[in-house]
Amino acid sequence: MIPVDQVACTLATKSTTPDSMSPTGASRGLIRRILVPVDFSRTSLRGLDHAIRLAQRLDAELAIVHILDHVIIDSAYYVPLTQQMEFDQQVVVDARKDLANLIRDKVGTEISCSTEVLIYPHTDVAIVDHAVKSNVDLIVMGTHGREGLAHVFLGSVTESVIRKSTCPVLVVSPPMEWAAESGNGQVVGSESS
Amino acid sequence: MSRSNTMIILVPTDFSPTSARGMAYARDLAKRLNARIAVIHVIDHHPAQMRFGASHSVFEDEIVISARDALETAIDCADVRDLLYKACVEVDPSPEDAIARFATAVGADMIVMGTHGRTGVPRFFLGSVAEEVLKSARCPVLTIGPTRELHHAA
Repeated sequence: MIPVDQVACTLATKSTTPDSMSPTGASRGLIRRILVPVDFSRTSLRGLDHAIRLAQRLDAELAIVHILDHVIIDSAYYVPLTQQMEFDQQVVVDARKDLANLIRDKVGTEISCSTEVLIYPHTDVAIVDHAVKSNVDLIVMGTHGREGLAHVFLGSVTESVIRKSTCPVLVVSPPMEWAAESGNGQVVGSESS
Repeated sequence: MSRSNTMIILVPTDFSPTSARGMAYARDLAKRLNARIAVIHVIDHHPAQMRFGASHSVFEDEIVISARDALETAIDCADVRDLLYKACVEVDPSPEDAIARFATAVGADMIVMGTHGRTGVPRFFLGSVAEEVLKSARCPVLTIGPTRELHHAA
């Protein structure tokens, strides 16, 4: 068995040591930087739409992150470590490409925007840590991500981020129609190109 | 969602320091967004009802009246008077329903709530009302957890 955490550490594009610094503007309603975790599900893209509108009105910049939490674990059984790292790198390259396309299609050039792909086994921790590290004033995310169930009103990652985050979190719920149309309860969405 | 040009930010308050934090944040955000603020306090049970049974309308009125006073005070304390769109005191056993109804009535674009980060009981980390509001609201909900400074002060 490959020590997953060790691999995660070597591959992590950002270290995830918690920083004691708290976002200075957060408590005063100053929003200069908005973190938007995106997993390409339509709820998360709805969160992005909302963040874009807020950024326009507040003249804030966006930090869009995509977290790869399952890559290493899924492939650990099939390939040796060195090949796996190549494989992971390819996944990161693809994710970067998807993010770049997303920015081109949705954000445009009016808003200042950065993107980052993070590899970390726990999505919630990755989001909260990244928020502190990159000094954001607000996290905007959907009620569910890709793995969320429609009948659970608040996804576990979102719930955990709300609880752990030191900066405010804006949670964007899906419209009523979405809950009605998917009978299997899964909020599916892979509109990524 | 509000179709008018003015954005409405809804702030539920239970007059706690946690709520006050939410109100202060909403005020600063509203100023930056050119938005207006709607405030609601929900009385979720009646002490009078428990003690005196059915005929308590006088006590009920008293409670609502003192809650309105408290709400006015909270509005002044948070300095949101000039941004105020609407203030409301509701009596409802489930505050989240009253909040959701009010959100629809005023066409709220966002609900802003302070949440308390009590450790040790993870299930009640947010405060049960905050959690229910998150689940029942149809508009985006902004939660403000305790900052580190407040943590130390507490």
